[in-house]
Amino acid sequence: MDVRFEHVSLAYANKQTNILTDINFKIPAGQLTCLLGPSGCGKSTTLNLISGLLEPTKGQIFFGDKDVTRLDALERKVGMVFQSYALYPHMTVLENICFPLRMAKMAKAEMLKRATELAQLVHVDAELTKKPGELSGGQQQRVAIARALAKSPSILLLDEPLSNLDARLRVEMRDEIRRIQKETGVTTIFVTHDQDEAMHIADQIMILNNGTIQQFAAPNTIYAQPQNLFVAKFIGNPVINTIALNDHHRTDFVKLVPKDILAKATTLAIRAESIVPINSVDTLTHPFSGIQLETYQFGPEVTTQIAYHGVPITSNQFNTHTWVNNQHPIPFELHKNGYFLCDSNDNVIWPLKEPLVVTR
Amino acid sequence: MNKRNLTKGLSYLILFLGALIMLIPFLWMVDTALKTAPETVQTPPTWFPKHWQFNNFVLAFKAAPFITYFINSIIVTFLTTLGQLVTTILAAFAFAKLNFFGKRPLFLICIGTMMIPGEILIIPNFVTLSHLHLINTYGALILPWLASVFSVFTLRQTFMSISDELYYAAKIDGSSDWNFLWNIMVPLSKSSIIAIVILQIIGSWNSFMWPLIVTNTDNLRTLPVGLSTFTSDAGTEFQLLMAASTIIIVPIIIVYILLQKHIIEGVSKAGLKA
Repeated sequence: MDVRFEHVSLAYANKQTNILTDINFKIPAGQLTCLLGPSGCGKSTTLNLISGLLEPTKGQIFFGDKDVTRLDALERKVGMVFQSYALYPHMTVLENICFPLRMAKMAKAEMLKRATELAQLVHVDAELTKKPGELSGGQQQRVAIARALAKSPSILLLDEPLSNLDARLRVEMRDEIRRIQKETGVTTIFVTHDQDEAMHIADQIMILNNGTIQQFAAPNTIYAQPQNLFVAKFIGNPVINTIALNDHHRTDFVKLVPKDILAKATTLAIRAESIVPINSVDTLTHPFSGIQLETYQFGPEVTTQIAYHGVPITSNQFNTHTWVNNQHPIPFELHKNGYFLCDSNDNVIWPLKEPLVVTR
Repeated sequence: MNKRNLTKGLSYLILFLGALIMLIPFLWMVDTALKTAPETVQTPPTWFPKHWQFNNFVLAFKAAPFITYFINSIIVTFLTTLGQLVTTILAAFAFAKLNFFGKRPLFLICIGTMMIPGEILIIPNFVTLSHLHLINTYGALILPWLASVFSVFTLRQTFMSISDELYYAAKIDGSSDWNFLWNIMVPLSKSSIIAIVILQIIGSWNSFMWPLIVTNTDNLRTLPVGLSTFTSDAGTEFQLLMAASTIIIVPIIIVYILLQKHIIEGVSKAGLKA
């Protein structure tokens, strides 16, 4: 079922500060959507508004065509997985999965059948008689997902479900959640602060900051066409280079960017992966050059710092072979879609928006 | 003997001495119960009776309607404990997990009443109950003890330590507050609840002053009040008093031993990660 917010705002009881300000969006049915943003951006709050654990101060929430704004969590029929999994510690795995069904007064035989099916789906069917305390973090997570799916929810909500797992398990569970979502086809909303996680798992990403939506699009669109500087900085690793433009920089871009846009631009953002070396020592024919400052190698990754008109920027496209005399400027070029110009309001004004077809 | 054995030996010695200090009054009680009347007041006191008087138990039991007292004690202890358990669980849940108008001031007032010594409440409680025409009824024995701020406070702390996410999870799973309380909160707080029950049973079983004041007929007296039979103007018959005390303390010891297992279980469970 799709989820729609219309002019939703939420303020604390004292009405002084808005946690969310006039949020509008439509999350499509049957897809996996990530709510992404730094701590305190309002992503968990948005999730709790969808779950019904919170009520908005203003605005309306729709599931499909149905206005659910005043309905509580139970009536909305959502399933939810919490950061701490929130399994009932005194119940076995089976009892945990059955709990929502028991609350719905389902017949016992049917309940056991459904619970067993779900346990198989999430691969915990061998652990049914164990208590949550005897399971590993990943298994607890699986049980939590099974419990959330037990009553065939209209929407599955996951609140930072992977942040309590170690790095390797996180990748494994990420793929598992993706698989379970695909197998069940349930509309899934996933909250995370980890952009890498969101980029890997989501069909759609909604980036939030300070209680407003920054951008809502497919992962590749968000990476290739960030709406503003915040999004550009938030997505991508290493973090995008940002440079306060001075006249030297502007001169470099004269041939690449129309004059009026260049005049409005105040900030330049360049992805580290689009700063590439040129195998030539002729700096004149290439607009960009800088002095190599330092190079670090971490396993297969090499990052190089270059002073570009005095501003240090990072590239990960220089391999150790491109070591040069670090007094002499080295030329580099920029990938066409790898740099952005922002105006004084931090909105991206270059490249101009062009429709981008993204397939996944 | 190496250092570790020495430390171990020392700690056992300290534990042994502690246990001895705890046990001596008990042993003295049993010891006195087996003495003759003159021997109980003899100086210097004797450690062991010269002539073992097992008959004291029979005499003590016959001296007053102890069966009635026993039944009364059981009724009063059972009902106060049960009633207090229900009010405690409900109030602790409200104070720990629900949001309602005036929650904080109400809680502070409740906590404030813990600073009032129990003795001060005897007269107002007595006056209230006499206005309600409840003096010399089971009502008088039970009613004032149906709520305990101390128990509410203790259980509230336990309830607050249970994560809010569990509460929200249960909400989403379709559980009402009521179901959540009895299906999740209470089982998870078993050890605290048992501790509260034990304290209440002991307190209720041993309570003396209040039953003495609000009852004036034999058929409503409880065991501790019944023990005053052995004290008269002519003095106290210590051997019979101690014999009776020994008898009435047995149920408490049994209850304690039975529930003690649960306490240990509760504590060891709480140690597992949840």
